[in-house]
Amino acid sequence: MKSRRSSRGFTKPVRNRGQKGGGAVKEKMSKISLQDIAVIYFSPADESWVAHSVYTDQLGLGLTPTKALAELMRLVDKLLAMASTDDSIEYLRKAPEEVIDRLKKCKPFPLEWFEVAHNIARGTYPDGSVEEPADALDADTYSANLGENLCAAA
Amino acid sequence: MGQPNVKWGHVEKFFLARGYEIRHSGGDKIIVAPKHASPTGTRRTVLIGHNYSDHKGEVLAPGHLSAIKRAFGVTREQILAEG
Repeated sequence: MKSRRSSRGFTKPVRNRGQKGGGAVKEKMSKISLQDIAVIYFSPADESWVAHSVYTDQLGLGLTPTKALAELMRLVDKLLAMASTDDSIEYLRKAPEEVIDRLKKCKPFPLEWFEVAHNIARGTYPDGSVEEPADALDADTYSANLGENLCAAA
Repeated sequence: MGQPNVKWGHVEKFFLARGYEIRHSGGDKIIVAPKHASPTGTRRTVLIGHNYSDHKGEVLAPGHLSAIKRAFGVTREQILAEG
């Protein structure tokens, strides 16, 4: 993970260009690293769960929290892939304050659901499988740490 | 009476007319601002995941319209006025 600590304590992303002549390694190393946070909440206006990226202000929607998070993982991965090949793409944008405020009263997203979301984003989760039982929801807001290359094949 | 719905077609037409780039990627939509939209030449980008089509008839969710407004300063009324 390439990152540096800012004066405000946040980990800032950096472009990792890799070395010349690296072939497949170079391809992998050209990805932008970003340690992001997703805030996952139910939005009555959207009639959906929303997963909102704190550092890119992108959002994923879904009928369940895992589907929303899976969509966000896929979108942020696409955004970083675009930015790694095109310097003009502005990929960092802070989410609005109301989303940041939700971080103060959220629960950690359950690890097993996170893994399901990860598999949905990678396209390795069987269609029709149940992501999480509705009665397992014990909060209306969750947060999850997003690492780099979330959708990369294992 | 509620506000009229904004569909993807409205959004695509509005932004294409203003020099924005529209990309399609695996069912997802990507709106990229033109370089001249920012003094530094960087291009703001909004991605709309294909789950939006879970909403009836490719109607954009309010959350997506808010994201477009934050990124590009474009309101739903401006988009609908075009369409």
